[in-house]
Amino acid sequence: MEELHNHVRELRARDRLSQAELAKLIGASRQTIALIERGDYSPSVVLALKIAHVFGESVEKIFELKGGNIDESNR
Amino acid sequence: MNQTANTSSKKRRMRLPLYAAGGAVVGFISSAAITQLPTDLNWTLSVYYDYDLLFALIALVVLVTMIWNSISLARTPSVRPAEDDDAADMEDHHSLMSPAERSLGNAMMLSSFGVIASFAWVALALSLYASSRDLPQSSNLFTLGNLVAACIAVIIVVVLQSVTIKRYNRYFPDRALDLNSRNMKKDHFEKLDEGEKWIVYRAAYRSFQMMNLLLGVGMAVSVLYSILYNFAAFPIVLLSVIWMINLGVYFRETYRAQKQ
Repeated sequence: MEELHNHVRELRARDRLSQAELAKLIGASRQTIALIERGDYSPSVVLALKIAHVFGESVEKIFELKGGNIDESNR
Repeated sequence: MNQTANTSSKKRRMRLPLYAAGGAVVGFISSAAITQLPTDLNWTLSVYYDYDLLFALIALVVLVTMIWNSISLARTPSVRPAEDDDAADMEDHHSLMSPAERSLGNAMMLSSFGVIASFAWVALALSLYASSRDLPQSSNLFTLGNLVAACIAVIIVVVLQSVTIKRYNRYFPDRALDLNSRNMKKDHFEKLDEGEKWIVYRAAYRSFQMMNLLLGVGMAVSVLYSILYNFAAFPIVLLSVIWMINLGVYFRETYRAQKQ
């Protein structure tokens, strides 16, 4: 089964943002950021887009599916 | 792998009290079937007055929750620490809560337990008082004193809960609990963001599953009570109705979601 992995923690460290600061920027709570970083919670498309906007990256660069039967040739 | 082994070992350990309770029930039933019980055996939890031991136990529960609630509140700084002060520590451990928030969470939970226990105390004391008017004066004094003590406990517990909620509102002004609102819980839920709502959904589903299990256990215990002592239809009917409502609400909500 595919799992959603993310690079929020690395990108936050790159931009020297705390969880609380990132949460404030995207209008979420710090708990939600911690849940996303732990991989316990997959954010909505809206929240993923907001996170991507803060880091100036595309959503696909921050969130990616790993494992399972993801075959590039089937796309 | 190691973590999986730890989890299953923990689960096994958590099942031990269940096995012990099952063994106690089986042992009790088999010994009750073999041994002739004295006819004057008193099954009420009493020492001097009717149900005094039961009320002592409830009072102890209320007292413990009050003290624990007060300790948790004392451990919570009156002003919320700046988020950045706790951030490094919390982020290292991937924690969702700071120590202060955890203490406050404990205080909120314990204040709810205290309110439930004290209201149960009042309900039982009132029922006993109403049903024992014809008893000797000494017993009447006990039931009246018990009722007064229960009312005092409710007042203390409600005040403690109000202090706890005020502290919570100071910590989380953006999602404050409005004590004057009729839909306090619903309004509070609307203020949460999507991650926090997800936590609530998950907790609610686990609570629903646990309720289903406990209602089944409650019904089995009621049947056992009927077998061992007197036929008691009311608890079984009541539990069945609650069980049906519990499942009915769940199916109605899933049906409504699918219809949308």
